[in-house]
Amino acid sequence: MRVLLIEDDEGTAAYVVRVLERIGAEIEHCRDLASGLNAALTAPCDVLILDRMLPDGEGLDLIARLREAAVEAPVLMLSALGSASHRVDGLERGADDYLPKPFEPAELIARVKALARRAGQQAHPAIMVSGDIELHVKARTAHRAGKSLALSPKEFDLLKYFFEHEGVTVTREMLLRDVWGMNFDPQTNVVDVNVSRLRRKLEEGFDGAVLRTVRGEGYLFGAAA
Amino acid sequence: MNFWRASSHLRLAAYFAALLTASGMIVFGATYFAIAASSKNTLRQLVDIDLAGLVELYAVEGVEGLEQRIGDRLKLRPAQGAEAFYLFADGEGAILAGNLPDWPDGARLDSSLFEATFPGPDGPVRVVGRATILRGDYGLLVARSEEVRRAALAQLRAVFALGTLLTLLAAGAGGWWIARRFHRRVETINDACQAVRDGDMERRAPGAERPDEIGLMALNVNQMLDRIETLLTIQKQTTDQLAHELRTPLTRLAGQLTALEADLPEGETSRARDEIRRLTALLDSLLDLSAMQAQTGDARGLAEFDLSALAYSMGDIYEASAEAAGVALSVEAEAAVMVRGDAQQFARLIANLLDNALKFSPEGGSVRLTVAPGPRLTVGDDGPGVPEALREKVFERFSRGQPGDAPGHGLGLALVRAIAERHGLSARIADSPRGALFVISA
Repeated sequence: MRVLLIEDDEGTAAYVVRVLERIGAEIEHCRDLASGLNAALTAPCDVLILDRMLPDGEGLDLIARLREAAVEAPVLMLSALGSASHRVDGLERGADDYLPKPFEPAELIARVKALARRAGQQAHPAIMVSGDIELHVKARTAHRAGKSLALSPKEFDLLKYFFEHEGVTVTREMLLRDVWGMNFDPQTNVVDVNVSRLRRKLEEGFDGAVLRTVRGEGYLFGAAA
Repeated sequence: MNFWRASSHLRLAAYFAALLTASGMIVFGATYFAIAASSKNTLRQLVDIDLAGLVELYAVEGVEGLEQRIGDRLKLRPAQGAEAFYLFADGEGAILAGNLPDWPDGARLDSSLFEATFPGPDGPVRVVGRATILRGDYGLLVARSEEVRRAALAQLRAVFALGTLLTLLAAGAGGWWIARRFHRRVETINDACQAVRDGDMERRAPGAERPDEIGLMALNVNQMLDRIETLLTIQKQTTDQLAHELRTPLTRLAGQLTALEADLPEGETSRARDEIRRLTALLDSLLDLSAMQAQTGDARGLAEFDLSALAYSMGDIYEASAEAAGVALSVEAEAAVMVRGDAQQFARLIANLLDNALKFSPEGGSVRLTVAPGPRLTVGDDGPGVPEALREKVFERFSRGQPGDAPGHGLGLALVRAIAERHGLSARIADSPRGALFVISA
């Protein structure tokens, strides 16, 4: 995976490089908008990580210029401007994801992987399969080993999200934002208890774990779990 | 437009018209009475001159001469002006000359002026006259008709009445027009203030360059709005800079922890990471709180949403948490209570209230979320409740129920109140037979 990082703070850039090297990403680092735009036009990348407050301007302004130049790589904003309104602003102006600083290594890896995956994904299939679990997207039903699973509408959405991120660790923040549409972090463990409930329905009475909690990081769904 | 403000400028116009009409009526009235008095005086002088002439004639030419002259004068009836009446009679009352059938009542022979009604050729005629006794016990009467003068005065009255009516109309229309212009200019300033209050920070009142007091008012309002805008910009810049200056070193710190982790056993840095997480959450909440408070009254970004649906969806998310805590969570919302607001902020408000209620509810208890039109949202629990004296304090920043309580940074309920107030609602704790009852209402 090729990642283009546009970040002027050396400490933060070193952190991002160190974390992404763990997943074998190849990283090109630019320190301002001008060189970043140049790099994006010269060599294609899978994910673009962009800071907001850069020496030669606002990172968000670069997105429109990239899209004009037909650079379609997904953009992850990485910013010290982290309030709910900043995040909404960033997503409205074309960012594909918005990660406020400071961030956890696992959070960054999950977001980058999710973006790279989404970019390579085809149209949503009508039936999704993982191991012995089947998901009928239109009918909104799920089966495991031929037996129907009794899921609430939200549990179905949660499971579908896990299917879409099979093999990738998803974090609590991603679930809150994408499944429940909440752009703030409730101070309690609402995500954990909802995931445990889904896990019980998926695993009780069946053979083999499919949903694993990755300590301090999030959840991993798939046959490998 | 507000009815009272609209009618206040009409009231102003009515006062103006009434004042102008009243002053017009005073001028008209004074003129009328002066003309009435002076025309009466002229008539009296005419009578006196006539009578004096005839008395002199009698002295020179005697009874025959006077008879002759009265006869001449009666032949010469004036085409215009005051018609004349004469009566010349002897001591027994026999009429010697004149155009009256007999001596009229009220015409005393003491040379004083009298007013009376005489029978004229075309009906009764009001007159002013004087009668006197001549040497030899003859009586002489001279009178002039008041009819022409009265007709002129009546005409004058009609003209004045018409004039008054026209003044009333003109003053009313003029007053209305002036008041409306005034009202409109004030209204443009009000509009500008309202627009800024609703979040359009760049809006300014027009007409600040005009050199009158409304222009000055617009100028003052605009300078005040400039100042508010500057302060808000500074507030935003300060919080943005604060966020940047604190988040950047925290990020570097997290990066250094990551570098250390390579050489340390797993989990060794987790407490340091927890501290970074807690510090970040605190910073976020503080900045959100101040942003929310700065947004109070700002209508931008608000849209209609279904609070009932949101309550059910929040209940759905928290049901698993309630179940894990052994608490029964119920949601009772009337169908489609629509609210104009920021749905994300309301979700956060409900989340914070539910977090709080679940934190204090004992196992086997219940937490009840209700939504009713108004809007009125309540969250009740079976916990220990909040003593009367602390019911305001819990909404303050960094206040905690009891020392050593469940996790949280003491900003949850402060955020609840800030979100309620940003939407023109209040957040309070109401009396309840059991536990605490949080009420969000208008």
